[in-house]
Amino acid sequence: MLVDYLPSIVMLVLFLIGTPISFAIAISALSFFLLDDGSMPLSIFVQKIVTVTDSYPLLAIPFFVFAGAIMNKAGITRKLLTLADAMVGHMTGALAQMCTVLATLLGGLTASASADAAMLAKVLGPEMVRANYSPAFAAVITSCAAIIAALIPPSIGLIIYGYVADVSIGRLFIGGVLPGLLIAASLMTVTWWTSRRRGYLPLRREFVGYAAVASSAREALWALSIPVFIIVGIRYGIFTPTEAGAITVVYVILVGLFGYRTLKLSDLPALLKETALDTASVMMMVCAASVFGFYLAWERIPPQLAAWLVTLTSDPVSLLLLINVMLILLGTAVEGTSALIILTPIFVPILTKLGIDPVHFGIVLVTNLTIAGVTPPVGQMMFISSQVLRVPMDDYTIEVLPFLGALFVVLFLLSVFPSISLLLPNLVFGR
Amino acid sequence: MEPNPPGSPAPASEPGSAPASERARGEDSPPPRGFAFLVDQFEEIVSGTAVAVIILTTTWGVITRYVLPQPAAWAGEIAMIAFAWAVFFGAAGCIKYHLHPTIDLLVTRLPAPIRRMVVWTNNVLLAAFFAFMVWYGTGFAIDALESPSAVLQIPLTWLYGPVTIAFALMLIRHLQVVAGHRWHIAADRESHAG
Repeated sequence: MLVDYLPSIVMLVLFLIGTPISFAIAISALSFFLLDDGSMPLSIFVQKIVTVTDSYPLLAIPFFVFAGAIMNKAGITRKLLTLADAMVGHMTGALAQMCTVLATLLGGLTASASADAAMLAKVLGPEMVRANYSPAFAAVITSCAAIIAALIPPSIGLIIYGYVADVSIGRLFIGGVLPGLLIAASLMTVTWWTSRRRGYLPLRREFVGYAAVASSAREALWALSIPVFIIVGIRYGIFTPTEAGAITVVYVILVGLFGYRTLKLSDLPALLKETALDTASVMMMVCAASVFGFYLAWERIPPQLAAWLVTLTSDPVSLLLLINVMLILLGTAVEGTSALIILTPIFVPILTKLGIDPVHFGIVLVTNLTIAGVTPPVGQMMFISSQVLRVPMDDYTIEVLPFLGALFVVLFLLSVFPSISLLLPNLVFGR
Repeated sequence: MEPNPPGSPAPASEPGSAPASERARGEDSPPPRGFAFLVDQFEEIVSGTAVAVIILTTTWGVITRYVLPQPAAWAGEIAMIAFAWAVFFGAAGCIKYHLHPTIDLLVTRLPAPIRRMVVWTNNVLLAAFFAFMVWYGTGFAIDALESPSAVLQIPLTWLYGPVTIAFALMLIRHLQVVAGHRWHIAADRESHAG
């Protein structure tokens, strides 16, 4: 009995002693094959790891990673800064508000919260410090705003969840839009409240007017059309999310080369290298998790966990909230993507049985684990922003508390009201 | 703006204009050129090229579906094989830059002697794992000579062979890192995945 759980225990021990997560998962899965008195052929192990790359949905990951890298390099993302400036430059704490608005606009172009955190911290962080914002506050808002990228399509977290849980990636993409906007609204409220107390000033006295906003929107039209194009294309079956990714890449290369003329062909090799490394570090975890999932399924561990969880509560909403609390605690110490990959196959069957829509759960799970990226002591976006702005973790921790409060309120709302996540997908795709 | 990745192809091809990458790399070693560059950056070259192939073939697949009466089924298969190359060679590249995510919360707090022990346990464990993958992967790649792919009818050795080579590279790079060889990459680089 206990031996069934041994590989899971091996994995936890390896995590703690700092074995790279992907290889820790793979080695613990291998221990299952080795312990199983030889009845389990080792070739299955090798095959399970390699054939993950034979999955069409996951191909979208390098595409959206590459598209994001190109857009940053070509400065396409900066065109959105002017738009954000026109929209909220007159508000209290203008630079911080711009940060959230820019992250929301960027969310539709980039698929990764950590890429956005780096971009926001480098572009807006120093400006905020120059305007006498506290550096810790600047690090906090740039990292928190990046959470939005994980929800507004495209999103790598949602692609991985869709693949592992076998849920429509198109539905997940559209389902992330409202929750993303809700997070933006909550961050802007906290920013407004903090800025007013501290006297973080607006950039100008009055709103520039809708005509000016419209004209900067036209400037950024190339970039702004991408998410619309992805959603419309998927909805009408013109292409799959994966093909949308490939087309987006070609599109942004063309826009960079001929539209804005800010990209050179000689930039591409370095960007390809970045893309390959980033994709590989995520995909290695997915590959390892696939063979670990084989072990979990073989030993029937998810149903056993389900039986145990249901003894705690069988009310779906309470269970969802309970899982959220567990994930928040876990998320303080563990990096989000790896938690997503390991936990999805465990939780999805349990929750689907209790009548929770897997699209709804996917949005809640990805939101929760992305918020983990800004909760000290371990968080990827926190690390990136603090590193760029040279902020010690103690200062970051104090400044992030009101924002975390707001984010947890949003997470609570998302958990309790499934319609926030399901309204748009049901509207666009039908039930 | 962007951190210039050390040893990236662009600066290395222009002699005398590589100060940025030299700074990122540290004072000790200039960026390698020519054959040394190939050896140093082999994984990145293979996996970066594979990413380019995936993009081209997938786009071609979409175009042919709308333009030609017979969509190019081979494109999907090439993309899949290239994806495996990209992932596993890329994973070997990640070892050089310590880009595989790790939880180091506990390890950094351990007293030095215990930490050294833990680090060595990890080193040995990883080397053993990579060696295992090379051993079984080789067998798998040889067996795959008999099993052709669905569309192109090429042996699946095209899939399993390179993956095995990639694991061999992971082993080599891992041993190089253990032996003290350093590759540098900007710490605040924009990771685009995660």
